[in-house]
Amino acid sequence: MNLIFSETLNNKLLLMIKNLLRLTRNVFLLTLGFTMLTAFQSAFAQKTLKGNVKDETGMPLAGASIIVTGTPVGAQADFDGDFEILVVDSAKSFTVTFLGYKEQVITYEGQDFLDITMKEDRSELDEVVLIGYGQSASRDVTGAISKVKEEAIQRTVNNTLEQALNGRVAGVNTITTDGTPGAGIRIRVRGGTSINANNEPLYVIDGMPIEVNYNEAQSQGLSVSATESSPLANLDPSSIESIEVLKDASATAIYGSRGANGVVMITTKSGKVGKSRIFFDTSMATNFIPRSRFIPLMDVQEWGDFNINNQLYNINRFTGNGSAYEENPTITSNPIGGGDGGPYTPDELRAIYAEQESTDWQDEYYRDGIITNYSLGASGGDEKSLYALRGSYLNNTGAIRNSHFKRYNFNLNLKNNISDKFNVRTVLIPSYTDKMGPLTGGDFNQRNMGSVIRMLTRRPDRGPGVFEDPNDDSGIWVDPITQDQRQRNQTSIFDFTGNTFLTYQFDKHFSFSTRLGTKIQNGKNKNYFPSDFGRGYQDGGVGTRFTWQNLMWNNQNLLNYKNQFGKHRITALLGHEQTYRRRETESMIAKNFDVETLQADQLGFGLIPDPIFTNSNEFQIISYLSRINYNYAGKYNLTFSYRADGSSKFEDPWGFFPSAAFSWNINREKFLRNSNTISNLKLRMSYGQTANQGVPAYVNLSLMGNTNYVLNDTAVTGLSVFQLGNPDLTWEKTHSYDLGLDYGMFDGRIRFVADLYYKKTFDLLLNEPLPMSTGFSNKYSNIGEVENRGIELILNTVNVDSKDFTWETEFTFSKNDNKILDLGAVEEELFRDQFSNGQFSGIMRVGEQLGTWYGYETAGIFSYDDFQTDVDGNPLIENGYPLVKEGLDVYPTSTRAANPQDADNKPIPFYGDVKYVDQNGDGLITPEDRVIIARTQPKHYGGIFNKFTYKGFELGVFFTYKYGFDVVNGNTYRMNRLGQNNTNRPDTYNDVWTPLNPNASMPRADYNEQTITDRNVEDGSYIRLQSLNISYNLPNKYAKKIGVSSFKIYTNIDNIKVWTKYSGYDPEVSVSSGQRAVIMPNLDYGAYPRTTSIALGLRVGL
Amino acid sequence: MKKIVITLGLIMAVFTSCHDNLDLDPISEITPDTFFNDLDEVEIAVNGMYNVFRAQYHQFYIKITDHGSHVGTNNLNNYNQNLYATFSFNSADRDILTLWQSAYQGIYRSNVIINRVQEADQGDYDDYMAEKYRNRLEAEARFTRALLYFNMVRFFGDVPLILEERDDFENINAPRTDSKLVYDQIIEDLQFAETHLYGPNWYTSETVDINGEARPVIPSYDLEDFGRPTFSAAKGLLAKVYLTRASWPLNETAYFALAEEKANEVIDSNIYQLADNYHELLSPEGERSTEWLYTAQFDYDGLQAAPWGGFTNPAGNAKAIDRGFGRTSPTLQFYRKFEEQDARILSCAKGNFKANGTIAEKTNTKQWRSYKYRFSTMPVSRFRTDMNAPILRYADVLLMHAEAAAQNGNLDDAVVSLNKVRARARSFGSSLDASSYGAAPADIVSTPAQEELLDIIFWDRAKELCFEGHSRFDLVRAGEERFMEELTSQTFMNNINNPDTEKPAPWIVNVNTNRMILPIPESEVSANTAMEQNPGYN
Repeated sequence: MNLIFSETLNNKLLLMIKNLLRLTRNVFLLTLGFTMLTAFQSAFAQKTLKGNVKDETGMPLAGASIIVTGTPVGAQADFDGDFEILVVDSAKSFTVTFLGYKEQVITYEGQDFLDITMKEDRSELDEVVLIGYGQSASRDVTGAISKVKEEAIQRTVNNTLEQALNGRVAGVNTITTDGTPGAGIRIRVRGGTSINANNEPLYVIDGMPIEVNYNEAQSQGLSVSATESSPLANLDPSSIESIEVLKDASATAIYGSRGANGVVMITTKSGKVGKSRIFFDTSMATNFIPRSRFIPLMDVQEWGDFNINNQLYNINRFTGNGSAYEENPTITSNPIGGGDGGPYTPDELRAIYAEQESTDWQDEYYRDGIITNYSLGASGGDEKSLYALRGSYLNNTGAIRNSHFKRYNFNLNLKNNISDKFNVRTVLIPSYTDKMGPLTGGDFNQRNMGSVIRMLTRRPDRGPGVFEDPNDDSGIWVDPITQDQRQRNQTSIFDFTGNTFLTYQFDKHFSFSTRLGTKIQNGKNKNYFPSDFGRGYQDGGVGTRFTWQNLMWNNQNLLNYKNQFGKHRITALLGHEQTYRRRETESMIAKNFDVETLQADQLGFGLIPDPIFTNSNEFQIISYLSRINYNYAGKYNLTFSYRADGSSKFEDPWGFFPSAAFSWNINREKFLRNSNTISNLKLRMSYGQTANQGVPAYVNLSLMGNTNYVLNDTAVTGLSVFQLGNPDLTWEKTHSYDLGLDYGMFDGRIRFVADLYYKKTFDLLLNEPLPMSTGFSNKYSNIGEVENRGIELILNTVNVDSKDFTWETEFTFSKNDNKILDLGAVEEELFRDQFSNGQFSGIMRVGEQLGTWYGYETAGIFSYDDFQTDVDGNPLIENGYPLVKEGLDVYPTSTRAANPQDADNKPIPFYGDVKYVDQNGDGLITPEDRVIIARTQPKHYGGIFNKFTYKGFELGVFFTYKYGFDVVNGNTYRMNRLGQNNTNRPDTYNDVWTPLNPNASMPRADYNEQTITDRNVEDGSYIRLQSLNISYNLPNKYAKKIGVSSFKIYTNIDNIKVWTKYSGYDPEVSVSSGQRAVIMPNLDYGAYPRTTSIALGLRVGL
Repeated sequence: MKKIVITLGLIMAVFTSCHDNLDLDPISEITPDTFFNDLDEVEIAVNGMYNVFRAQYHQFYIKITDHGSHVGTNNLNNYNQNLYATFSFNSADRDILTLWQSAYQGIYRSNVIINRVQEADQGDYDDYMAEKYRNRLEAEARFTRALLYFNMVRFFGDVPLILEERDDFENINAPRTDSKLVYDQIIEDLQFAETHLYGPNWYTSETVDINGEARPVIPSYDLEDFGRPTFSAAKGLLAKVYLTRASWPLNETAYFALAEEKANEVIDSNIYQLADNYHELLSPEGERSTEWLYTAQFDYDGLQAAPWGGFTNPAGNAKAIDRGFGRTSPTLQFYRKFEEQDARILSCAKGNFKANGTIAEKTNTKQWRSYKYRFSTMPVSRFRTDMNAPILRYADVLLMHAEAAAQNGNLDDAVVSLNKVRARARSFGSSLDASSYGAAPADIVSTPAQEELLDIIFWDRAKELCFEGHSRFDLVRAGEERFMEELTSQTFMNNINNPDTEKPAPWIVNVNTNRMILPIPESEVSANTAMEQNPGYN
């Protein structure tokens, strides 16, 4: 392969394609002009043909499509199966298609009426699927493509497309950051191929490619959460007709440079020939966090006991004698009374705590949110023009107070057949979203903690209010509800996606099309931190505004060819594509507000503005692409594609991406053709190269930025080099192999798809840490190799198919093994998290999967058994410390201040310390003793969907699961870490070590954990009852009686129950952002819990 | 219809030909190859170089230099804040990383300037001034490079010595260079700097006749350049470099003579002098005192600004102007070294602030705090004040002179310089409250023996320069024995009035001589294959 695609040959090919395209373009323009001028002057002879389409049982097939073969002219059957079509004399035959039925070709011999009976086809072999830059009959497809249809998309309540993909598509792992309405979503098709470059798939909306790069915002040092939104978040799911996921290289290589992470193709609804229809859809849902998912926290009594233990242990620390634990104690501090009074006995203090009222902050904090959704649409058209339009509004008030997500959508989809050779399709998708809610996530710094974690740690003895905490001279008490009212975080995004696609049919072999698409996005994020607590406290109030503007345009010019010679069928594609992207950002921060009521709506009230930060960047990709598909006798399919991409991000811009694929429709062979059982048997094989260029623009160049200084108490401009360019940087490449089998039995009642794949990614675009002594902390380089291997299974069965009752099952299963094969010169690399003081980190290690956390292994709690005793069983004390037994391989960590060291510099344990495992046996706990403590990629995952219909009723039950992955519970880390009395903890801390409770699961009450250990890692495996849908379709005859053409009432219940051992809100969580989302994912830290919602809806067609 | 065709044709022509460009220039950044054209642009790069001081001398700096010394500690039960006080720091600590990272960023930037300044166009400057200006810019870069290497070598021991402008990613694994060679380079850079840096704006130079015009031999800075290093700053720093090189760990005692000589040059030049009021030195007014030879410039301008005051000053009532976070405390041993009438004792507060700005005194010495930074008006933020960060002042030069002279056996000369510092402490003290302060410290009248004099100077340095980022270096310079002795003898008292409550500080068991230098940051060790960690750290 390498020989064939040597560089010189590549360049020659490129030149050839270039010239060929130029030629085609010129021919096209000439012909276009000529045709346009003539076509519209001549009228053509035509007549009206009527007909009716029904199925074998005599039911009319509304929406069946009748097309004059070989032309775009056609009509659609109405609700009675009737149609009318304008036929020109030259028409030879009609092709009749309807989803789920076998295609029919009816010869036209001048009839006036066509009576058509369609036969059901469960094999879906004739279903049209989208492939890159075109479409194909399912039977001819050589690649691995999964399709999600409209009805599955409609089954979600929250109206995000993420749920439509979650668990439904084998090989697609969706990861939502948390439950925030409108939260960003990450999609991994067949595992992550990249470490630092982009891992998101390429989105193609109605043919226009849209790249998402979450790293982009990160690289500009900006808050990612502010800008993070996938193209899916702005789309109205009810306007989507289908989603196709292209998974293997045969399918994606045609997208070359951007196909390495798979391609998600989204098609919006278009008009159908027939009488105009109006749709109205509304639903109302309640949206809440079930109490059963609350994290059990200590109540005031338990919290009081914990504080008493905290002090008692201090007093008795060194004697270790349990009998004296509560005798003669003097506790001087009373957290409720503010440290005055006392001394107290434990019982006196318990009495004080007993009088306190306990606040369960989770109860106060969460509410029942409401989601309302309205959608109004119309569609229709004739053979000349088709239209579909839709407007919709969604308002999700969120289950956390002061949060909402609003979305306004409009969709317009037009298709005009200007002549029988020339048609234009236009899709316009403007949308506006407005997201407001407290900042979740945050870091481990008290001041920057996100809303949810702050709420969880609020002490239970206090009610609402803001006041200076008497126990801590720099701490301010604020209750979580007041905080969220005063502290605002709002993001609004206007997004416009527009796309015009012209096709010109030269003759029956050649057609040329050109597409011009743009995506424009304007976004704004506003934050305000008031002056009396939290982040605004130090600066007298902080207001921020961050705006961005993205422009992307895309131009495609495609020359299509198809022909048939006897049993040989050939289709070919030659194309040119160009994508330009420009991004501009502005960030403004002002501090010190005297008037705070307007918050970030008037930054001018901030007396001290921060330096203004603006950034602009652009990049461009120019591509030449080609594909040829050869089919012999409907049995053998061969596809070759070849693409050249040039990216402005690289000094040497060009990359070349070939692919080859073969499929064999075995069921068409003689020996199977008459089989009654096997209706489909297809073998697929493919190989291809794809690539990734998901690094920031200009990484090839050295750049100087603003580093101002102060002289004479006045700011002076300073510039310095902040990036050293890497001119050697090039494409990250992936070689993929796929072996697939499609199997259908009993006329498609059982369908089975299996795929085995192997992907090897090399020349990884890695943001590699540099020795700081170079003056730079990191650089992008092409280093290392990662492999993904996996298996995907899809099984669809129709279990019962009687006249009134049907039962269908859809099952998907995916397993992906990800492994780092090489990291260049090193065997492993450490990455710090963004939360703690470098105390915990992620690691990449050769031989391991991506996304592993690095930390200390622990082995329980030091207790009496671990210490030496005298003959009477009393502890042996030396220099005030109990003597630990010899030969232990566990130690307390020496990074803790409170543990002194013995003469050999070994830390001396106390009763109730956590045991750290000394991995290297040097008697000390040092960073060397860290091991991999969390692996975050699931071993396998999938979903099962059962659908039952009985007459007009339909019931859908959908379960998803992921098995065998770890979650890092940052919430417990944060809650454990606080030594002070003024925060709450999970109720597991009722079981702290005391002399009276020596077999405790938790360390002594005054233990102050500083670093991440395996105590913070939990198994995240879960099974989720993802959705339950019940709907009733009023039969047509009744619907007509009430004056509508269709009437459906439904209820959707989302996220009903999760079966998991994970102790946090939800194991499906990953708040890490930017490249840490790859290296240190699955962190649960102050994540917005995922809600349960119950919706009632009505869908009416007029 | 023709219009449509023409429009379509135009669209296609525009999109497929005009944008055939894959060589896009950055929009909102500058590439270094298009910069450094003339001296004014080099000056902008010099300003950009100084920016690293904002990270180098950020709040953690005083945490590293003054906690865990004979002078200061931190008694808060806050792990991140008391790492250095309790000797619990390790190679993963973020503050060490920032220290290392900002230093090498500054070294890189200075290397770029040194590499390019000689090629820059002289612009509108005449030949005489262009040469002075060009050399000054190079000297500023060399001064910065020397200061940063000096910090690195004092904090970490042997460090990679990088002097070239890096323009690719070859040879990124730099091994540690013998610290003597690093010192040689620091000295060379500072000698260049003392020759070519300008004088302060109040300095008047001798002149030389150039084409009939009297031109300054050494030009002085304009007022707007306040904050750039002067030739005196280079000399003062050089004195400190010599003094350090002569002390532990290199102990090249021959450098004591050079240190004495260089400090003397600064003293004799009479450009800098002691301020009248010691306590005003670290205030917004005093930061322009002619006592300051060099400070890192901060301003409350929304950038990361110096929070030393906030970090070290006592906490307490929000109405107290000087309120900080109370994260630095004097050690009891240090406090006891003060004579009660030495007004510099007010650098230690026996508690936190009350609303009226006075101190609520506590008997528990763990609740005592350092109190050195004084604001006349409420700073905008305790985290960000516009106080400059102290680096070198005249009293330090006098004390260096005293120490070097004492080491060289010139005890009388040493006493003269020492007495100047003591006299200022008395004179400003009498202005506070004549009955309480002003009588101490007394002048040293009869010259003591060398050892005794050096001990007096050691503690006078502590009293004079405490909480200004010098303590750790002074203690380390004093050698292993003194390091262990001072740190392991520290105690606390729960009640200052009850001698029975005096207990050894719990963390003294953590002290060992490996802690005299810091660990190399973990990320440098892991990314740099030629790097070895300091002994006693992992």
